[in-house]
Amino acid sequence: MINPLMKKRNYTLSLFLVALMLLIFTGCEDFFLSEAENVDIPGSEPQLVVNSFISPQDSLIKVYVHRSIPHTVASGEVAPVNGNADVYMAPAGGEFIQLPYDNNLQAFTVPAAVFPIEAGSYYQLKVESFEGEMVEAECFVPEYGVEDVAFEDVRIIYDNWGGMEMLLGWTVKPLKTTETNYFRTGGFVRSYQINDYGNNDTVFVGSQELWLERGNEFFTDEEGALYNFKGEFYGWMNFDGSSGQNETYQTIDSVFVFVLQTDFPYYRFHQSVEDYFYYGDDFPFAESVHIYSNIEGGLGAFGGYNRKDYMIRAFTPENK
Amino acid sequence: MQLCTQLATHSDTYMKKPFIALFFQVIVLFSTITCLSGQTTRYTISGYIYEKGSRETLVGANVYEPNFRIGSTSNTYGFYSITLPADSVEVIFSYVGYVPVIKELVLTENLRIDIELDPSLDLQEVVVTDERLTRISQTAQMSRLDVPIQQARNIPSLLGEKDMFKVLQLMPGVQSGTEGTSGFYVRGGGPDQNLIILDDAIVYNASHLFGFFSVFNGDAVKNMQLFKGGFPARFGGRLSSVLDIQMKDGNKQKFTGEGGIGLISSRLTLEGPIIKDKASFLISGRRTYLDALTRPFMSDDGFGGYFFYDLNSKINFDIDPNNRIFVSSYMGRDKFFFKDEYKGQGFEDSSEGGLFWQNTTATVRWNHIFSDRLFANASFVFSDYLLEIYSKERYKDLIYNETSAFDLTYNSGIQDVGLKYDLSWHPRSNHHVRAGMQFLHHRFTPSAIVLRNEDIGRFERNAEVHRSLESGIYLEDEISFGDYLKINPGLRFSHLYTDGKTYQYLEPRFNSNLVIYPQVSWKASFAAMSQYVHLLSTTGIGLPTDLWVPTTKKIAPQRTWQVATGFAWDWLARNLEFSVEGYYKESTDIIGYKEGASFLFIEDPENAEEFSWEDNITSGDAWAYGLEFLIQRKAGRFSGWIGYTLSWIEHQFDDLNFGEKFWARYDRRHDISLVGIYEVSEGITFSATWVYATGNAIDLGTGRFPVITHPVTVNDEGNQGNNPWWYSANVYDKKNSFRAASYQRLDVGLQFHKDITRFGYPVKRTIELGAYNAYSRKNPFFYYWEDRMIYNDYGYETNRKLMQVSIFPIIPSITVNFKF
Repeated sequence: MINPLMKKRNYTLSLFLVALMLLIFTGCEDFFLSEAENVDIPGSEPQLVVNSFISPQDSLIKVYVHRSIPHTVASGEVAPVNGNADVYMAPAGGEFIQLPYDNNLQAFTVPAAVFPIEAGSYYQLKVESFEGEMVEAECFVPEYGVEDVAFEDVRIIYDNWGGMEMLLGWTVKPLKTTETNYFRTGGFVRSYQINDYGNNDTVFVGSQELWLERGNEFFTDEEGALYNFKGEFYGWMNFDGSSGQNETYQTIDSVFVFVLQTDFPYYRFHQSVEDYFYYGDDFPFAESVHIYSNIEGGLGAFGGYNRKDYMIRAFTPENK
Repeated sequence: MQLCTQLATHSDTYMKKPFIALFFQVIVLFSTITCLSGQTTRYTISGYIYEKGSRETLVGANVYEPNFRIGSTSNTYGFYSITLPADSVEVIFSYVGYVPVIKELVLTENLRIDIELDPSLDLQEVVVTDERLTRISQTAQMSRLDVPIQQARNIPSLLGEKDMFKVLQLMPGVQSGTEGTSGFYVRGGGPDQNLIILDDAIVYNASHLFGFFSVFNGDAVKNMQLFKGGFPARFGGRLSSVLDIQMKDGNKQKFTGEGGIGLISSRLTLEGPIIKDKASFLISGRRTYLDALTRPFMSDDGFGGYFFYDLNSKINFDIDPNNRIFVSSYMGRDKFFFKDEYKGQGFEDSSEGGLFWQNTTATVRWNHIFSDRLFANASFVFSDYLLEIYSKERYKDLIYNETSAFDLTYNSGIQDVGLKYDLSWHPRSNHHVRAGMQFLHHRFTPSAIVLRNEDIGRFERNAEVHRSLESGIYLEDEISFGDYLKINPGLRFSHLYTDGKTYQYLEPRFNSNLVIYPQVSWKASFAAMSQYVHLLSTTGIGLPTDLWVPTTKKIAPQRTWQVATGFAWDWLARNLEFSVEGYYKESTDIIGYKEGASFLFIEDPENAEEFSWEDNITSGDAWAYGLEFLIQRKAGRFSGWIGYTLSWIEHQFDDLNFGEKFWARYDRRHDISLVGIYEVSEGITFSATWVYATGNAIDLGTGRFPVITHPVTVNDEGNQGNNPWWYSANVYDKKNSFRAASYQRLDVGLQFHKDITRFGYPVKRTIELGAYNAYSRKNPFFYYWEDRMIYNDYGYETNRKLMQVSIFPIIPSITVNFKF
């Protein structure tokens, strides 16, 4: 004889399981992905972004001023700064001068003739937006402290498709000091183009950077060690004016290597930018990269440097 | 004097080996001083304490003489030793959940008495005896958690899989990482700072299913203790905790088994005598079968799956009353795989890949009883951990008869071989001296990559093999001063040789317990620790891709010191324990990934020789401090505990957050756990857990800003470029300044127990119904920003919404367990 109590218990168990399954299916909707709640998002206000890098070699001092856009704010709701700010610069302990806004460059500028930059000096920067935001920063323009830059000969290889690969090696030996010094190096080619549409005019195309195959573009030193670099360039160019695959001819005019001695903010900012874009962002399971800033109350960088360019080889149509 | 002579004899044997000779000389000196003191005639009772019916040894069983107020406990092998005056004595042998045994004796000589305790304690009884030494207010050791194995089997769990690590995470001072993962964080330390030892062998990656379950099958575990601080000198090599796990030995009297069938895995444990009362075996296995169940529903052209299995095995043999041999092993593997083939018009394309990781450990141990007061254990240990990731692609152009291929194999591992020797000596009733030495050879292969691509040819970076020799020697003494004061001072000397460099440190240890009121005591401890192996964990969520790396010439050992103090109270009438502890801990040279770094990164294989894991990590300091509260009831019809932790964890790395201090990712300010188990009736058990923790600290971009770098090229006037390079990048506040939403979860379980008969044999069957996250709380797994387009009269603009990903809604489970 079947125990009525046992029948009742089995029925209850089945109902329990069905109810649980229903809970699963109804509960899953919108569960896995939802808008975050009950959290405080820090840094939800726009900040001034200021970028300026100064050196004795510049003919024009430039300061770029923008605003950051918080994620929680629509892009159109954050007004660009444009010229709506007062930008001041001064040598440490000296008088501030105001930089006017240049619409063409979209930056606040002053000619070096008016505000010369001297090596071995500190400089201060202040920015006040018309909305009342204020930021300031300081940088140092170092003396140029490189003992020697030596070069390997330029190697040029043409391939079967009209392209040209150029390889250049060089070494940098900083002066030996007891402090940590910061450097940036690289190379670039200057090229010109022969306009073949009737008048054979020569037009300067521009400068293109070498790809650094060996060595780090930004490096530090405090012992005067020797650093090796190799740059590589590939393009549809040539040196002898002969035809490539283009109707117009692009020819390399000269090859340069540059060496900058920089202050720490310049070095750290650019190193962090390089890391940021090298490793990528927005991946939740990797350590995020923070871009360095020495702008107090804002973002960006104010840095100083001292530069020297070394021309390796010059080419003209006459002495190719 | 007889004992002192024995020790002197043994030390003479090793005099030719200076290191060991020094060790024994210290012991002999100490024993001589001790032996010369005290003139009362005393005799020692010693032996093993077993569970009746299985002859399984009991760890931490209490041995107490109430008239002389002298007590002792059984060690990790079940051996006890108690020295009493030559007189009539009444010795009580007891263990939580077991029927006590009382022996009335007249001592006229040393006695060897093995005891069997009956586990058939009526659940309705709460046996309150004067079991002083098992009471929290009586033990010198503080910051120790005894994981209640029996209780753990009743606690509801994810998908019905009983996981000891998940039980640990319910204790104060122990936090979980991300949602559902079984990695644990103890007093501010990362998952690599926990020494996990299974029968003396180290287990490196103790997780299955990407961290959601631990590798420990609860059916094979006899005892599990977690030390969070006040580390006895016999433990070393990790900074934050020691999880000491002993496997069962196996039933020496009859053949038994137990197992269970769950939603994602099944398990079976078999144990029994090889020679009755002398030798036994145990074998316990577990495997998932989701891959097997789903495979028929996948085509041969495209399928994938995941499985894990683990296997524990053990054999033990009593050679004679003074000698025992144990051989135990563990093997576990996880594999995730996929395969896909596609045939199109004129081409064939196939790809396959996956990753797997596996742990293997083996231990051979020899217990030897020199005398009633001197016990020794020698162990040979082996441990091997391997991670491999592979990917293959083949493309065949059937028209031009051309093929291309891509192969990637990455592996990383660590292998240990070691020897341990430990002595346990009871020279007097108020002294328990432990001493020992350990040698461990590490072989690391942090990363090895083989890459083959038709375009680049074959690239192979061979495994960098790092070898190091880690050793340690220790001495500690647990000393009782009457009933009121117990101290456990100790000293450990640790040493590492690697890459031609030597690291060595003295690590003082100290524990104390002062009874300030009946059943109430004040405790204090200090411990200095060193760690020679490190785990590189990407964001600390415990993925199997985390790398174990060695200390090298460049990477220094991690070091810490910790002080802790607190109070403990035993409320015997209610069978409750209360404890409150405060701690402060400082660590140096802890390691982490540099910003953006990853374990597997080859953008340009031709330059990959320049890529080294050592260049991708950075070191820094950590500070952790907090308060822990625990109220616990271990036995009775209603049992469980309430735990609360208030804590802070800060880090400082020169290469992170621009050198400024920041909150650790797993810094949670408040952590509460409520666990309750109620025996509704003899056949029904109801259990529930509720946890709440404030959000952990995350690095979250808060906006976008233009990044303007310095252009270095020159224009035709020889001036530097007018147009700088523009990028758009994330704005970050201070590192880990974003707090995730709080985490809370309710789990419930209902067990129905019944004795049934199958195939003529009595079987205890338990059907367990459970619900994980019973009210389906959306606990965050990670966050990300989602772009939203907003259209208006001027076109469109963008903003972003912060989205949360959650992974576990309410998950019901049903499991059938059986025991025969």
